[in-house]
Amino acid sequence: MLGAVMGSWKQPAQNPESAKSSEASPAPAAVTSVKELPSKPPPFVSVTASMEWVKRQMEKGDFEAAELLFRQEAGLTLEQRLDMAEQLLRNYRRMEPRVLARLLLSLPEGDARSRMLNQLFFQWASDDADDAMRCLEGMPAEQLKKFPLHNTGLGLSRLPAERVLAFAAKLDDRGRAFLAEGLAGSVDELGSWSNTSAMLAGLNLKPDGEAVSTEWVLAVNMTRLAPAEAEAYIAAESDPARRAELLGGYAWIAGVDDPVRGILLDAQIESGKMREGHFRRHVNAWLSTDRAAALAWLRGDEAAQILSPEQRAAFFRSNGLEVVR
Amino acid sequence: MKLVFQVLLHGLAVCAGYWLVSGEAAQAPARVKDTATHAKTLAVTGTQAAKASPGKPSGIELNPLSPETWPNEIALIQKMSQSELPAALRRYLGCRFPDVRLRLMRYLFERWALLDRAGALAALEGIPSPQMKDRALRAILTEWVKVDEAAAWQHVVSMSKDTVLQEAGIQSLLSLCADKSPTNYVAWTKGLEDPFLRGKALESIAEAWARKDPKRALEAAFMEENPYLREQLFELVSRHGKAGIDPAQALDRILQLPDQAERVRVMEGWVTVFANTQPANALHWLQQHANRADLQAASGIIGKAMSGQTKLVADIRNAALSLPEGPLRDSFAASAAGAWASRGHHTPEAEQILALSGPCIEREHAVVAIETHRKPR
Repeated sequence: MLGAVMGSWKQPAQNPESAKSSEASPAPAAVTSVKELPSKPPPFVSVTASMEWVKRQMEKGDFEAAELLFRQEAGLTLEQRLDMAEQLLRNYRRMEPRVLARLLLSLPEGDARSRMLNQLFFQWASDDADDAMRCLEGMPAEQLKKFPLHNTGLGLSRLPAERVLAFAAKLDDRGRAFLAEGLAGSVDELGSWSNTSAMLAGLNLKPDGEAVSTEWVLAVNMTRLAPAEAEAYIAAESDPARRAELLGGYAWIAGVDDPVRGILLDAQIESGKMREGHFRRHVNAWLSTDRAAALAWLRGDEAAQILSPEQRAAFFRSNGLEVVR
Repeated sequence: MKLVFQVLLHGLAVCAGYWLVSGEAAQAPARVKDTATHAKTLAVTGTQAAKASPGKPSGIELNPLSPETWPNEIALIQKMSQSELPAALRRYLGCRFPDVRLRLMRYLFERWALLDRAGALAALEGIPSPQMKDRALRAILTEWVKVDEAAAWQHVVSMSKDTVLQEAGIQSLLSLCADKSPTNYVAWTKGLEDPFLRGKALESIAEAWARKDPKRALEAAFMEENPYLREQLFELVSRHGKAGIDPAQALDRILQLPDQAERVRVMEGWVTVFANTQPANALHWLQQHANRADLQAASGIIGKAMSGQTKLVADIRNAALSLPEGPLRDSFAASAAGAWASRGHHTPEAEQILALSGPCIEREHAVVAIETHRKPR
């Protein structure tokens, strides 16, 4: 009896139907059987009507019907295909992610495609990191360079560090920086610090470029949970660039609870862009919780020393201090 | 004989686990050189598992699993015998829809844990997806703590090989058990060195506590020394503890918290729930405390909520005018105006509300919201 059950578990041979259909690129993979050929999509009238058609086809068991709309002979314009893709992505839970990946990859490169791919892989990795990673691992490095994975690291942080690092080796520096940003962002919710820190150590990235640095993200998360431990962590960092980022993340959170301290910390930030952003956040947060105290401080000597005259003038202006109420 | 059969089934579950892992490796797509080939790879990988026939065990219908049909499986799972579970696991893991896979893991492993806990734990080892594993472990632990909580803890604590699953297991156990003796579990977290794990653990405890006994959880929040736990308790009680707690009374006590930043932060959650559920009472409470500068943000929250529940602009204007001139009225009117415009009402109406606000940061935000939603003539 045992043998009989075991027998049914042997690894299946590759399904010949899938193999046949996949040769005829870019045709979608075969549906349930050869006899049941996919219905041709009706001429495009509206996204709603096409979505209805996809829904009906899926109810019949054709889970890949949406792909037919993206074939050349379906005759959709690029704008219509982008609208369809948006709508299909909104119905992510009712779609097979691989089908979505294929149709998004069939769109021309650009911001819209990149954004939608990011959205798809973020959601997919959050639901099933192994499955999403298998899809990513199968992509050529050139393909991966075209859409940096902003938030996918959140879900991927649950995978073994060595697997994520092997995948990261296929990415360029920009791709690795975005991956690391997502990984660092997960530490207070998902995965484990021992696993994620092994990934971040293996990536060994210096703060640079357009992605938010892992140091900044870590400091934000740690300060929220345990400020004293965040301070100790920052104190132990000897690399000046990393330390500056850690301080930035620490000030970002600490300054909301204690605006004056936050603004004093902000003033120590070397990067002009980061400093400006921090000042704006902390003064605006203060103005929207205790306007009288914030304005009193803005009028004082400390503010005059820390903020430029233009910055102070902008804050006063937004509170009508140059106009008569 | 029964013992021998059990051992054989455990062995079978382990084999199933290894099969799942090895099958996974075999399915991993080879590196491909171009996009077209890559599209083919995706096509094959995605459907291979779903199309692989696991053999049809008796009593299990093999209709395609879809977001519409998966609930039909629940009744089938509840009737499954121990020997049918491995094949069902393979079938579910081969489902094309991640959300369906996740949902079915819960029911399958609850059943498995009832019939054969050790087999369920062995089968879990072979699942490649961390999220499916997490869901399966939670299902097993749900059943396990009903009969032997200590053993369930012992198992999770010894899972050090997979720290990701271990931490997920700790969170599951805390959410299942912490409500019975929350203070003991809080004391336990003090021994955790990793601040991130400690944070997750405190959150799970606060969640369980706030759900089970919101009144005591709120009392504990006022006494708690750990600021993170205190914040979590306040927030989660405001979200879950609607029964038996008067929000106005709770807010009166929150107004006495010594730290202004914490007061403002805690009030945000409470005032939001209060204003969304009892807008008139929330406004009345605000009017009673209208001399307090630290209610500026709360006033904005109430204004925003009122604009979502009031049909007449005049009512919102009257509410704004009932507050003293200054930060509270400005915040109330500006937030209400921005929300009014965002809900698609006429822009001139939003501007009538905004006219009651003086220049301030909230007004700047409202102007942006109004301009964004201004309809072209």
